[in-house]
Amino acid sequence: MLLDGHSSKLERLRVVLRDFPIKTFGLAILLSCIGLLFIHSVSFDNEESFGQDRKQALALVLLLAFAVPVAYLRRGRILSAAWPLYLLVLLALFLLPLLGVTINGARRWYRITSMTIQPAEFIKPALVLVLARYLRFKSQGGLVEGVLVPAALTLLPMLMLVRQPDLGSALSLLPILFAMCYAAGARGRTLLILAVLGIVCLTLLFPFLHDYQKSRILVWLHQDQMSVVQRLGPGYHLVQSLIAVGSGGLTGDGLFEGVQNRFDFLPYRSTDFVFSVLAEETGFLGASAVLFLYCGLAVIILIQAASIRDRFGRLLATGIGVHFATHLLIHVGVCTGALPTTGLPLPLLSYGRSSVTAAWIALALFAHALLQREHNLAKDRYL
Amino acid sequence: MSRAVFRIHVLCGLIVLASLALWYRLFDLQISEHERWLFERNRNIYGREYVDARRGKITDRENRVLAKDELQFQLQIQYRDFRRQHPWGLILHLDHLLRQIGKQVELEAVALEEVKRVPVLIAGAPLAYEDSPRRFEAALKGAMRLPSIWLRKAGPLPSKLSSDLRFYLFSLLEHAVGDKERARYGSRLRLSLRFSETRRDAPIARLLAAKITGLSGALALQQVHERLLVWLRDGDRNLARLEAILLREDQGDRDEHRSLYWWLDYWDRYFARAVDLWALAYREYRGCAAPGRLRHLDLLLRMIKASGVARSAELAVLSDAPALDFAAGRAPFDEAIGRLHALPSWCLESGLPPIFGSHLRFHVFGILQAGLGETRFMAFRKALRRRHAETDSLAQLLEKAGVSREDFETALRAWLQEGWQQRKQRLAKRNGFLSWLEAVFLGQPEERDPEQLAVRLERRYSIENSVLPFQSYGRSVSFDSVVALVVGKRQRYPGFRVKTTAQRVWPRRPELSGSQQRSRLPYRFVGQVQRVWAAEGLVNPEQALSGTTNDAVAKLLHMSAADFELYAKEVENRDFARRRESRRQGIYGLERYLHVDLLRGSKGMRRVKRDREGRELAMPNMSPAQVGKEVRLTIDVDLQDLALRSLEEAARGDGTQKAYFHNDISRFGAAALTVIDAVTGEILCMAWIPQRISRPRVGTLAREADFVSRVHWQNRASGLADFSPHLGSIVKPFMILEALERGDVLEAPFPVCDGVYAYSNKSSKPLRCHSHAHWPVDQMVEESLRLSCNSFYAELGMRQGIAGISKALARVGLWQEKSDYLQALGVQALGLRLARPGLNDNFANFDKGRLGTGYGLQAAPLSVARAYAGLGTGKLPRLTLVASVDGKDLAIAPGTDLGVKPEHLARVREGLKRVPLSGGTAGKAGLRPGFRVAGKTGTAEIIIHGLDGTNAWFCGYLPYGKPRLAFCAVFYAAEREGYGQGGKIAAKAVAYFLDGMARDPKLRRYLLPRESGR
Repeated sequence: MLLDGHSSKLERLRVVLRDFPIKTFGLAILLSCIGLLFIHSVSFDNEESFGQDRKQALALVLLLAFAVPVAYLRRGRILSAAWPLYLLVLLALFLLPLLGVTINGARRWYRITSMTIQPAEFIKPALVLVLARYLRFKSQGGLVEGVLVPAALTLLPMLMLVRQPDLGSALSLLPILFAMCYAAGARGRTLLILAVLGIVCLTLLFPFLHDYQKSRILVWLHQDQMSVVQRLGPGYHLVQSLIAVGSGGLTGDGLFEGVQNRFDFLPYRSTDFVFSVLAEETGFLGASAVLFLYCGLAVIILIQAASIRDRFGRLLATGIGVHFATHLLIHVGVCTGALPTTGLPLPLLSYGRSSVTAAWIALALFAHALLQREHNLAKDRYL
Repeated sequence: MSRAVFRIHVLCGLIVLASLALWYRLFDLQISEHERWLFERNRNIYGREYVDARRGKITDRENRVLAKDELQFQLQIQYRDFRRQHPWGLILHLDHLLRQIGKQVELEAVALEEVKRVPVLIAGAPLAYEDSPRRFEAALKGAMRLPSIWLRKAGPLPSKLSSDLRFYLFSLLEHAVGDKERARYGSRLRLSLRFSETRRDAPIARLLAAKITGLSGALALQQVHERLLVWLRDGDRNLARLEAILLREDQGDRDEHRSLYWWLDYWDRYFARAVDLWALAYREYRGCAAPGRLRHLDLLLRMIKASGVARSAELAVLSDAPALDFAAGRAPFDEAIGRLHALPSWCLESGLPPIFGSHLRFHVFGILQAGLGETRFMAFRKALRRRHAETDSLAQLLEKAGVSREDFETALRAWLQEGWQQRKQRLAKRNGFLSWLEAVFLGQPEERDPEQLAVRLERRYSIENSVLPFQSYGRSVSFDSVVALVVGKRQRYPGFRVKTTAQRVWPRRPELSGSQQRSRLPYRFVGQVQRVWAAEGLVNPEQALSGTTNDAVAKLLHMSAADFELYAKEVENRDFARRRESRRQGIYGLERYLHVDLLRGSKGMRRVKRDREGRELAMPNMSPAQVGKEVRLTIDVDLQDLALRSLEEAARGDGTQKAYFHNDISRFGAAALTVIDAVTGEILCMAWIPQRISRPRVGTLAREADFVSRVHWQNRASGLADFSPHLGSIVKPFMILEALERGDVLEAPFPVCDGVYAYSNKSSKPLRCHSHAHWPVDQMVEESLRLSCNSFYAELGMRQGIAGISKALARVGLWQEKSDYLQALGVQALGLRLARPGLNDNFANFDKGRLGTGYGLQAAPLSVARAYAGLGTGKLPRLTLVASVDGKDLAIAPGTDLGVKPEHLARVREGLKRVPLSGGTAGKAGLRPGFRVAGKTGTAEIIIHGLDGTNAWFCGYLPYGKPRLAFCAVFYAAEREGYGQGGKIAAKAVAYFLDGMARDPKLRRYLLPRESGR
């Protein structure tokens, strides 16, 4: 039976949207809205961060509008854009020491009029994209092709990030590398040895860290024996975050009522410590809910990645899932004192247009991987 | 399930596991440890603020205010802020930096090349604020012509210097372009530097001007320069406005009109010195220089001992030795090595509190590592981990590690001798800092040897007040003038702020500070109040140990163990900084002695809610401060003023000028005139001169004269080494009264005084009686007093013995056998220089004779006045200084009956009546008969500084018959010949005083018969 015009449009739309990851996007939008709520809580009566909520909301709307078309781009276009995008971000990182602006002693941003752009955020989806492209034909790759070349691709931006200095972002690339190599088929034992070697190397590199980085690590190791000077110096962020999280209790202080937040004790609370604000104001119940929602997002992405048959799409989705999971674990780990203090925003929740843009680019790429996958004809009941 | 899918599921599992671990951590923090973090949060936001109580008011008997608290506003300068934000401060700091660079340039070959390219360098004397603005312009001009490469991080200068240079120069330039453009231009300036757009020798100004104005060349340079000067002069004008405010506040005090500039200049010079000596990255030096590290270790050990931590007694062996003396050569280093050997191992483990333990380990391990080399040091660390007794010394541990004591000492000595050079070379490769450091420390290359280094190090350590204090300087200003500063104009006056304080004021200062001379100090009778810091001079021990403020270690070493313990506890408290509050305390006179019981009140406390910046957001509760009690004295200010003037007038004597203690010709040491109510014992005035103390010896005496305790004034003019303030003949009435009471005076055969009678022993000066006519036997009492016959009273003393003398004096409160006489009597101190332990009458006859004439007896003028009041009224009154507290009158204690026969008392009084009359010893003092004064002179001969001197007294009461007032005037250590006699200056002071009372209608009432009550 021929469909009438109206019905055919609807049918076409249904077909188009059939594979669109609505649940994942819905979860991401929910998390973004939760983030907006707490960015508003931070900024509504604070001079320094005033207006951040509106900026974030505007960015969110624009990015949603951007993410859907990207998801429908042809596979070839995405594949061909992988290397240029990676090299472009790498170049941006390379030029940072020369052209970037210094804020709080670190040179991580470009300033364009009143807006700042942080290339470190964009290197993550770019790295995922380029690794997925490179590893898509390396299912039987040996040590060199399966591990060392991807490692080199990762270490290059890492070195630039360390130089900024942005140790947190640099280290967040490593789990992506390992996960993607592992998913691509690299030998588990090889990866394990590399991981151990990496830890040893990191330990040996300790003396070469900046003084503030060393003291933060030492303070974290002895967080129960902090002196007054340490509490007011290198341990300040850690202590204030622990106070915020711990004082939240079961149900929290209530929305917009967090004392550490309201009285300005918690530093960088709309970005690097947004989870502490959330934990203080909503307590254990709210923090647990967000933790599991976020974890659910990463797990759903990974489960859906497992359903993708083509290697590029699967690796892309895996990398993106691990990217979100890594940020969650590091960010929450820092806020709860389980990891040393480092400035890493929580994508979707934290304020930061670079961060939220990178997050939605990653989600768009994930949607692309899902939409442009090679269908399993048996599963799709064609056979 | 394919392998790829399986692996993705493994990843999922890992993520879920990690999330669960974090969830558990959340549970731990938010549920298990909730109470702890809640408590921490409360400590964050709640603070206690102590509010000073207003001190009690002091008034005289007529309710005239002598001292009170007033709210005042202080304009304070925060030097650090001023330095970093005010244009003048920025320029000055820049100037200092450039001069440091000058030193660097002389030494560093690369930089030397640079400086040859620069035509003009800033040179000459340090800038001073009064030189403004020409010198500032010169400094600015010089700075603008420096090569831009000096600002680069990888330039020829040490990174610290170039960083400082960048900070101050950029601050200047960014200020010059204005607030709005600051951020934009700042980035562009830094960018242009980074790319080094121009040649190496391009002056800073040209490079920056192109970025600011878009021009180039000389025109741009000129424009930038002009803009900066405009900004600089604007800063100058603001400072001038401030100065104008201060000047308006301080009209009439011309000496201080430059004080603001003086302070700024002082701080600058101090800062310059500190920059030279201290801002040398001490930590880096300490790590690389053997003497530095040993020195620090030594201080650390002494500090551990001072802290009184557990088992620190065992460290005595280490820290009892004298401090290392760098100036004394290498021997102390050897001693230090020996002491290091004896260090027990528990010190390096967990035997000490972390604060000490970690620092001790750092230094000891550092030394061992340097001395032993890496391999043997690791062997030592292993030995430390093995089982060993905690009392094992370091030497024993080293032996276990296979290092003999000799080896170690040899290695360490080698390190001491050669380590400096080696490490210097090693570090010199890294940067030029050490060369520069060495140059500053050691000066010329030929002087660079370890001994010289040691000398300079020692000098550096011994500099007093070496930490930059950055204290604020405050001056009181009126509220109106500071409102403009407080409200909205802080940007124009960076580094200045207004603080509200309670200030003690003394409205009647001129009257009570001696004549019309205006004293800057409050008069010492009422006293002075000062703000005393609760933890004066102390710094956080952790900071001290961190090596950034090493001089503080030395300070802490001087603390007592108890103080240190208390202080360590304070440090443990997070509110330490907030608790270092000051309190106001009376430090002299009545302000001091009434401080605790009456004046200070009690502090109030506010519990406040604060944000991170310390801004108060709410005040949940408070307990108000309790105002101090209002004290009304028995003193009459007008009488006090009159007494002071009378003393001064009498001191001038026969018109000789410059009778004061502080002039070249000193005719007396100190003088006092006290007047009390003869019946009630109320002190009406207690004046003394000099008011201000400048000469130590006299100053001691004057300080002794104002000893005030509780409500009674006590004068303890004793204990001086060079002379004794003997009472002299003023004790004679009491002696004769006792003789009358004993009944053995007049009837017994008495040696007839022929005017030349003298007796002495070998070691003492003879007592000589002035020639006088003999008196009839029935007039012996009266005449002996009138003529003050020394021979008679010496004989009397010998006859009465110590028992009789002490009884005579005890009757009128001038003798107290107990050693704690001050406490026991509550009124008067009596020192007896000749007294033997137990007063067992073990005196030589000669001693008793001297006692009988008043030698060897000491007493305060006030107690002497009280004794004469007793003679006049028959009852010894209790001295009273405080009439009422908070409007409630204090009860007057009834006098103590002397317990003598009235007829005996009448005879003594009759004798005293004759003294001021013609023929009496005070007959020429000009005491008008109408006042009906009865009194006694005393001229005790003393030796002071090898010269003849006297203590000249005149004491008594008036009017005889029904006494109203009792008085005592004394001139201590007066010139003997023709000046310092009781009948002259002391009696004259009383005469002037009484004349003054008679002339003044307000004071005349004290001469009239007493009305009922007070």
